[in-house]
Amino acid sequence: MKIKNQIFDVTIIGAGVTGCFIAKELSKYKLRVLVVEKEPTVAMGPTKGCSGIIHAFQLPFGSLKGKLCLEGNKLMDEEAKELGFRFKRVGLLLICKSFLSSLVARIVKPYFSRYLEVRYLGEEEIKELEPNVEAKGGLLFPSGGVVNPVEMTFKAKLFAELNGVEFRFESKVVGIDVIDVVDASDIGNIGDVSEVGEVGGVTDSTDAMDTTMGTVMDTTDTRDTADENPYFEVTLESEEGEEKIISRYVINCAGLYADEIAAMVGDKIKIIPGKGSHVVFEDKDFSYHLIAVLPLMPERKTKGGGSLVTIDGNLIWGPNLVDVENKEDRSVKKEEVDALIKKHSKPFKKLPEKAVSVYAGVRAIAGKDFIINSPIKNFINVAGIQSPGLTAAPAIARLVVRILKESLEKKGLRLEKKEEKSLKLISSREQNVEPICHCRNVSSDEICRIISDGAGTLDDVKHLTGATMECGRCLPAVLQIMEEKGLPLRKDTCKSFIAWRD
Amino acid sequence: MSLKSIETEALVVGAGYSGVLLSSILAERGVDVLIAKSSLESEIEVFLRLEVLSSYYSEFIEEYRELLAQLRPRVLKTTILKTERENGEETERARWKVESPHYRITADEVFICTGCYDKRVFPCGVLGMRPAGTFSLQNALELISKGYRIGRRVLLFGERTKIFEIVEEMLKKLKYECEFVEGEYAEVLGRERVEGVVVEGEKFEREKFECDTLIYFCGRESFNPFRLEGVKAGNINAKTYDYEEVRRDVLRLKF
Ligand SMILES: Cc1cc2nc3c(=O)[nH]c(=O)nc-3n(C[C@H](O)[C@H](O)[C@H](O)COP(=O)(O)OP(=O)(O)OC[C@H]3O[C@@H](n4cnc5c(N)ncnc54)[C@H](O)[C@@H]3O)c2cc1C
Repeated sequence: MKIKNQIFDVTIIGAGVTGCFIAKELSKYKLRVLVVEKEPTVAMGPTKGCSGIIHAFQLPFGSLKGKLCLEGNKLMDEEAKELGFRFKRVGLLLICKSFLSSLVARIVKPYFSRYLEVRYLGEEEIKELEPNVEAKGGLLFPSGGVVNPVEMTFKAKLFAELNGVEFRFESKVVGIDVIDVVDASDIGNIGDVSEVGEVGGVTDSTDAMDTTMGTVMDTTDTRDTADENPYFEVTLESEEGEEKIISRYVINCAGLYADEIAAMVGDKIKIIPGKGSHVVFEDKDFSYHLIAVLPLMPERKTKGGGSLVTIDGNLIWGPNLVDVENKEDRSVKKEEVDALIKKHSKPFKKLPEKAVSVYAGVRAIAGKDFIINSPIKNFINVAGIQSPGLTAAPAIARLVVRILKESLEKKGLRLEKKEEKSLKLISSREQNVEPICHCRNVSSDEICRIISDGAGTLDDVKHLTGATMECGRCLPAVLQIMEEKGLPLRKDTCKSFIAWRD
Repeated sequence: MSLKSIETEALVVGAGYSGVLLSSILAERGVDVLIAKSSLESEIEVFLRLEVLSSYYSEFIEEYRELLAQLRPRVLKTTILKTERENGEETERARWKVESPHYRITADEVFICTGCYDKRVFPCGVLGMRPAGTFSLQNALELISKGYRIGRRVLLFGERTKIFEIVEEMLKKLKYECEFVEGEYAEVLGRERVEGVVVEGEKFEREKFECDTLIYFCGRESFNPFRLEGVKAGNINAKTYDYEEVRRDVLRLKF
């Protein structure tokens, strides 16, 4: 029966940054893991539309997102090294325009110091760091950083794939049924999860998370007995039609659609979409830090955005927060652009020269905090992962592994590490190659390589190599390479073609 | 891989119309000239493959082909990445040190003829969604010239310039449905593919145009991403698809 190949230990729904980092972490264990994604490639949802900031902190410190943010931030150097994505700790600078606010900054500094490194800077020190900024004082958080979110997610996916995780793109989860399997042998062997006691018991030592996140697992899991052996039958829909797979665990990382997935197992979550727009400037060396003005003027649930830089050094202003009805509404309106420019030009003496582009992402907001729980046995929600989800992703992944471990242990099973393969990291740019993208100096070889690594759409190529990102002149050449490599000429989530031949 | 060293009196960066014209003038005067041609196609090469445009620009195309044929031995297929005065000197007399992926070139003078590119979406006032089917004029022309279809029903948006009239004619000949609208802002609708464009401008407040493709154009900027230094010549200064102007610009140079 075909079903034999369709049995997984863990199925992750959604290949955003969260899903891919969980997949990456799980790939280190002897498990058969599947990632299902409805789009043609990774990071096509909010992950692509986010600001790319590795936040220094998230308030309140005591919340789940606050803790995971701090932990994720700390893990980022290690992740960047292991996966080979670019990460720069540019530092977050909160500046004070008035003497009064600089006084407040000095008063609140000790509070922040309890959690992370922070320095108070005087007027002169700021001038030295940021010649274009006018401020009376400010707080510098050196741990704030930037990444390319698509690159970060893509590399996690590459690592997971290398270590045996299977990915299915353009497959949408449309149904989940709980099935009771009396005997696991009915459906074949479940992965390599071995019985406790079989192998000498090495388990993860308790870390800080243990004590702080006791609420993570729902109590339903404690009722678990070895006899009960629930499995999930997950229905996938793709161009080829419907298909069913069986999985012992399901992890819901479906971002904006985590509510729909949760509903499939009878859980109620409400995800509200909140759009955030950005303006991108051609200007480099305009400013060097992530800059926001104190007191922060959060637009309700957000940190209020700021004057940011990308990993490539471009200036970005945003994001804002706009309620939208449609989860796919990533349109940027003229009024928003005007407001962003007005708001974020405040700290600066001179204005940036050239705005070249705008983009938006839609946050998946489910109340104030992340929702990481297990509403029914063997099903884990990783939902409502709004900002700082990008930062927290490595920490979320470790937390999920822990949840899984605990749940398996209750069943008398244990997670076993396997020998992992590491990604071949391409050290630096090759020399002596003719570029086709002059703005970012990208050669056609580099584009071919990223395509053979699994880039599936123009947006993948664009975000992973930088080609077409700036002046856009090399677009036809890039499309031609994609065509030669047999890729459909599609843009991000679009099933529709950019161009075609009759 | 070792780099090849070359010396020349004049290095012309860019083998588009202006680079080729300038090189031929220099060669005629007995100057030892080299032209660096990057992997990007020049605009004339694109026009060459487009029926209506090649007849509109025929005079320049003929001239370009002829001159290029004569200059062929002087063409170096490489992308210039850096130009700087020897020993970092600012003086006019200092020679130029030039770098490309395969060559180290020493030149007495460097001319930058790297052309233009169309202004991008935001400076052209194009906002809203960014689904498949939104093109700058330049990219649309290059793709069509390479034998692609880029849509069925095209809206041309931007400033009314001669080039749009020609392109409109070309698109109609190629059996595209096509319409031009002048406006300040365009809001693109659609997720998978362009589903329409709402245009705002002086003439109307907000009007929706049905289309599956948007081509925008609102002027050009010089294309010099490596910020090469040297004498700027030809269409690096011009702002439209006006080759008369490019020619005047080149002829104006004094050596
Ligand atoms: C404007 C903006 C700015 C932000 N800036 C930052 C920042 O600077 N720093 C930071 O740390 N965080 C930031 N965030 C937050 C961050 O982007 C998110 O927390 C993170 O991207 C969430 O990732 P995810 O994997 O959980 O979700 P997603 O990226 O939404 O991934 C979910 C995936 O699930 C797929 N999916 C959904 N339903 C199904 C289904 N039925 N079947 C199969 N697949 C399905 C989707 O296609 C999608 O790819 C920002 C967010 C926004 C919107």
